Amino acid sequence: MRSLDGALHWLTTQVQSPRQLGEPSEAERWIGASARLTAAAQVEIYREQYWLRHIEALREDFPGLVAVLGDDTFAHLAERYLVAHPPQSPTLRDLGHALVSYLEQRLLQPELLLQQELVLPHAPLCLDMARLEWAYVECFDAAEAPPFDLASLERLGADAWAELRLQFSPALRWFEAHYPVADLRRALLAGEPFVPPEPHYEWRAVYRDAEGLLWDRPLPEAAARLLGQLAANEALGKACENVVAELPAAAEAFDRELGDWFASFGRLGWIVGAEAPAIRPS
Amino acid sequence: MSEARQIRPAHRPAHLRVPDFGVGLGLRAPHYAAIQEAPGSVGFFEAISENYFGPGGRPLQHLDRVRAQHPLVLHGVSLSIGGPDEPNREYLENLRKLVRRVRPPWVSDHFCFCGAGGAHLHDLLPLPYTAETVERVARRARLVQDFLEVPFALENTSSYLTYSSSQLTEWDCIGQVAEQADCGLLFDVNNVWVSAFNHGFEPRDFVRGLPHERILQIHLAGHTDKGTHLLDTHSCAPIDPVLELYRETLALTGPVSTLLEWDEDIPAFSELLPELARIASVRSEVLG
Repeated sequence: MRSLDGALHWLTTQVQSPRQLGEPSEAERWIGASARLTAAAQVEIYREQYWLRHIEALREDFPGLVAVLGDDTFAHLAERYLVAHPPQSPTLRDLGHALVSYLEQRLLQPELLLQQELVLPHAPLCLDMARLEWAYVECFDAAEAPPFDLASLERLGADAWAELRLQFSPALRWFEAHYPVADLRRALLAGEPFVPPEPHYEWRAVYRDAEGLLWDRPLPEAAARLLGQLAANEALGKACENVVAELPAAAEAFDRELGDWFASFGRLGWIVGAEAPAIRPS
Repeated sequence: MSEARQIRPAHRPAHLRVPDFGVGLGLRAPHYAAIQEAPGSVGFFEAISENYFGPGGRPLQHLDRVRAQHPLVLHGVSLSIGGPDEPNREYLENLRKLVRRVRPPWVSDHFCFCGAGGAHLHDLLPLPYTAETVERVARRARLVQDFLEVPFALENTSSYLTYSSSQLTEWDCIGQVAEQADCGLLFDVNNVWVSAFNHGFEPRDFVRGLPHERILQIHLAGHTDKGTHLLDTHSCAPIDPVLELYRETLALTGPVSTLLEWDEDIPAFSELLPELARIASVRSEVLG
């Protein structure tokens, strides 16, 4: 049957195939004669462009990862990733949405790398780099949200502070890293050759400022874990308790630095809303 | 060969009467700063709709600044109007939100499909030229135009394959779609040249066979000769034969906003201004 949708589904499958069309007669069933090109060659133009276009789009979103892996290895990774996660969104901006989880899965199950004949040198570093670069992509065009004026919280009593819940900028991400990927990325994009760095544990935030510029900066671990609790809509008091339960050293950091952190978060535009009994709208 | 029809823009359907902005340029990120420094140097800009679907950030800031100083139209590349799936509701909502922000005099996308079964190939794949395609695309184009509440135009794409099931010429197919949907056309002259070479038809037949009164905008661009076929790369200036075809098109349409597209090896903004002047010169010769 040569229905309209039959032709469109067939062509879509051929274009997404990592390999050229095998059987010419299959193409001749759907594709018309041409004085210049065989039916299979006509399809091949689209198939080749599909892979070039999508691997190039991933290169643009993950330039640090390209620099760590090299062009050929990155292209191989991108091809395997695109087979596992074929594009479904109308915008190329979403293309790399699952690359972090794709790499996480392969770190946990190295046999997947073997199955897919995928060589991934510096795999833990690659995962950190992918997290950083995807955070940049997400912050680039995340929704606008005017910063919250922290001065309105000054009149809160101690009980109200414990009940405080905060909303954070949609253009803010933070993640745990085991390598100094942000500094490494800056060096690589400045043209320096890749030298594998020593492991370095840190938390890092990526955010967009009021001018629309993107930045990253280190975060104390306790502050990062507190952000995680608050972003999950936990009240401040309970959030602090939860963090101390998993990271006892956080108690001292909270006593010493909590106020400075909040001032910093506010100054950077990270806090965009707050809800507490005393400031809840009537 | 079909007979040429001399159409004046006044004969357009009332809802498709849009301004003639002269010669414009596709809005590309490397030119943002230069555009701010030279307001008014270009007749209009055309933004790729999907590049501004994100809810915030610099892309929208730049778009707002360009819009404040120039006429701006929106051009989509991902609607997939002929695909097996109905147009994506979230996509249309995003597009309408952008239309309400930018308030373009018209919006366009392509006569093509972009994938099937949930896949999106980010390419403009040709459709079989059949009555079934005409019915499907016309129905959806009417829906899109009604939904966006702004004139909607479909662009002919360049293509590298033909279907054995096609029963119509491309120009008959897209012309029938425009008539049945009561929508506009965006006529890409270079795409006609590329497809005519690849498929062995006479490009003037395409130009003459369209309902000219529905052409709201014209595209010009360059292509690359790959030996066995021409590839629509937008990587250089339009060749002289394409400009000659443009000249013939203008004689049939009257004044229509004309846009230069450049997407690969993008030159500096200042280097593109002479190209725009070359196109403007052809316009002046034809239109007086």
